Amino acid sequence: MEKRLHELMPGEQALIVKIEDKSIFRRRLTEMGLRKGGKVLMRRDAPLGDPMEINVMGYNISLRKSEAKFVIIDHVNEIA
Amino acid sequence: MKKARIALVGNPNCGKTTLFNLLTGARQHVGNWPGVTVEKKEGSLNYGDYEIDFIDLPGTYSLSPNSIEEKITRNFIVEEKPDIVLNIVDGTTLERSMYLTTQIIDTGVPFILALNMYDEVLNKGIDISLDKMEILLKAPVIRMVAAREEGAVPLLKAIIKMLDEKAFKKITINYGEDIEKAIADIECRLNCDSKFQESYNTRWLSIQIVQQDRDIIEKVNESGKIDKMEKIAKKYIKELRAVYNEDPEDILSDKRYGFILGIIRECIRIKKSPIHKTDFTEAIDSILLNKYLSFPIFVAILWLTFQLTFLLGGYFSTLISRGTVLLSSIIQKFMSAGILKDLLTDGIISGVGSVLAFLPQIIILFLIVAILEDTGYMARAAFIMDRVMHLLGVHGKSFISLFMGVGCNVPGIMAARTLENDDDRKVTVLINPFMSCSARLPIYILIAGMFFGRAAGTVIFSLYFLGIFVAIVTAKLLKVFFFRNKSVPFVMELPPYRTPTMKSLFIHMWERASQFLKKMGGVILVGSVLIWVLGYFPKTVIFSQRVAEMEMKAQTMPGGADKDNFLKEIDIIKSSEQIENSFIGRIGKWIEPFFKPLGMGWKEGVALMTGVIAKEIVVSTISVLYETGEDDATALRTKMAAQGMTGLSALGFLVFVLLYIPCLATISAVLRETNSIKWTLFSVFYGIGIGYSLSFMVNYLGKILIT
Repeated sequence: MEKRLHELMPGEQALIVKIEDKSIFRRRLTEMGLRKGGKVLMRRDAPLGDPMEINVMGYNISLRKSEAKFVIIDHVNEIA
Repeated sequence: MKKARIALVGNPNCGKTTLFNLLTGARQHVGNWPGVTVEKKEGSLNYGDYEIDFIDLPGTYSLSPNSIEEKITRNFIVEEKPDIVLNIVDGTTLERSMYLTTQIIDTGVPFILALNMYDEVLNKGIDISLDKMEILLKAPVIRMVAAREEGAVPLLKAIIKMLDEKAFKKITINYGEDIEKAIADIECRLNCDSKFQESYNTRWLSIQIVQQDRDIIEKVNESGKIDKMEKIAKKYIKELRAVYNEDPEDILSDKRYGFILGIIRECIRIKKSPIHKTDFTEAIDSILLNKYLSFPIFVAILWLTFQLTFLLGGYFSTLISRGTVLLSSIIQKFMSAGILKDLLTDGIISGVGSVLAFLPQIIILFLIVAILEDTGYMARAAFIMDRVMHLLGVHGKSFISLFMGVGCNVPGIMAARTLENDDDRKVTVLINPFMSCSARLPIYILIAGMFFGRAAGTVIFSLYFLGIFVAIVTAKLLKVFFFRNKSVPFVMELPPYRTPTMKSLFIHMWERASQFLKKMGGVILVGSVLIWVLGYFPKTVIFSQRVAEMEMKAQTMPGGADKDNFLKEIDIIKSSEQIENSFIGRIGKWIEPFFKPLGMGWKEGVALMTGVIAKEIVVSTISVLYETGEDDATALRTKMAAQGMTGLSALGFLVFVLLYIPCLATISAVLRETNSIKWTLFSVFYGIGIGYSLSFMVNYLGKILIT
């Protein structure tokens, strides 16, 4: 079932389906490793609830939830 | 000696600066890229027959022109054409790091790939076949551990070999039949204009056009020879979209990752199958970013930074101040009285002293900031604080800068350098002066203490909050009117925790200290002497009748404490008359009408002007002009009240002190960090303007409320 990245719970893993929205934003995320078909692991929320920390391609990045909601994901916790 | 230029290109946190320091040591020159606040670092090294000039380009994840840093890096590579691009990548995150490499390949420049942090690669049980990688990339691939100074010699040898042989085979990434057709067609058209053929790699230009890069399309349009490039680009984009249901840009980035995965599949074997050692960074983060622990730890670290900088630094500053006082008194003894002596002691030495007094704080603060940055904690601090700072429209990292501003705006403004984004950095610098610095506190204590009695604490506390409030509003206004560029989202790497190297810490600290002395010291010194001159000339030769009478009386007095006090009083009156007659006093009287609506007289005006050297001076100027000792608050209050100073106008005065130009050192820091006279003038006049308006409102609305 498709979800959005900001809906992932800490510890959950998923596959990136696509990134919606404006080109520059999508470009930046793509360049930082949020590749279509790539794995993403939700690490944690910041203590005040925003931003969130995720792991892609073996390294950690933080992004705001308002931005994470443009990332469509699927196969939550279905991947090894 | 043959000359060569080599550009260092890599992601943030890949160890690029460590490698740069390793290669160039202290032979570095730090400046700015023209027109922006992004640092330009250059350093040189003589090796073999070559004098090599290394340019440390800003850390970026890509060469797409999203941010100023990326534009600088990209333009340098394609326009300045360095002999070699040295691409440093974190060997443990090749899949992401090599995205930049694929874009470097597109530019067609000779490059060397340095796989940094190779120790971590081995520890993780990753086996990289460098030979295979060199074959696939047709470029040298060097393993290194820059932090432990390993791999520099093989790297330099590879550089020399490449420079000597000039044998660089270009490779191209195949972007698939349809895209390649578009690229080839556009390239063919570009080749019609020899200008492009000579000064650019036309394949690279074509790739950018297919990706709808505005800058490049415009550049091509400007040439005039190849018209309708935009139309052609649009046509292809439309066609490609119809086939792939995607923008060409996305297809290209897919292909890039495909290329990288291809290389990884060929060259990398994971030897130790993933026996999950507890991830060191994750273990630390589970504490430092813990929901309940993160803030106490963050506050503790801030508190420690603040204490070390301003208490320990303040201790050394006091030593320096004492040293300058001592030096002055020695000169007092050995020089005959006169203008030269006064200039030397009151003008120059105290000016130099006020510059040097900042130095210990700057050195300590930047040592700590360097530690926080190099260990990786700074990114965590930004992660924790981003929610709050986002409300102001700035980045989480701005917090450190603003917080340090409460101690002193100068190191606070300099700390804004840790922000990667040019707009965020400028906004942070421009709102920093509204953080009420410690030099303003003595004025608050004096005035609030005199006029508000037991409510003084509340008044002072409210002033700090007013400053923060003005900073928030200003940040919002700046974002709305000037820095609308919201394009760069807040995507920040939280790098693995690493032990910083002594070398980078000290280079970092040394850079800041020498920058402060070189770039700001001069401005502060000249300004201090200028204000001294304005207060010193013209010299009052004849004092008032009153002074003459008092001096007559003093002669008849018997020696002792009474006479000493009386003589002191005469001296204060004399200095007061001296200032009143000086240029600054005259200017003060001339601009009195300006201060009148704020309920202030010329004395306050003069005090505020002298306060531009350093806010602390306001207190001493006021007590001199009102002819009282600095410790005699009751007398001062009576005298100020007699001049028409009410509680309201005292509050207005404090509001003005909070918001107008902090001091010369801050102005020069703003100039240095924004690298723009326009923004510096803005900062000065905006501060005066907002201070004046709010002070006026306090007086005006206060009167309405009271009556």
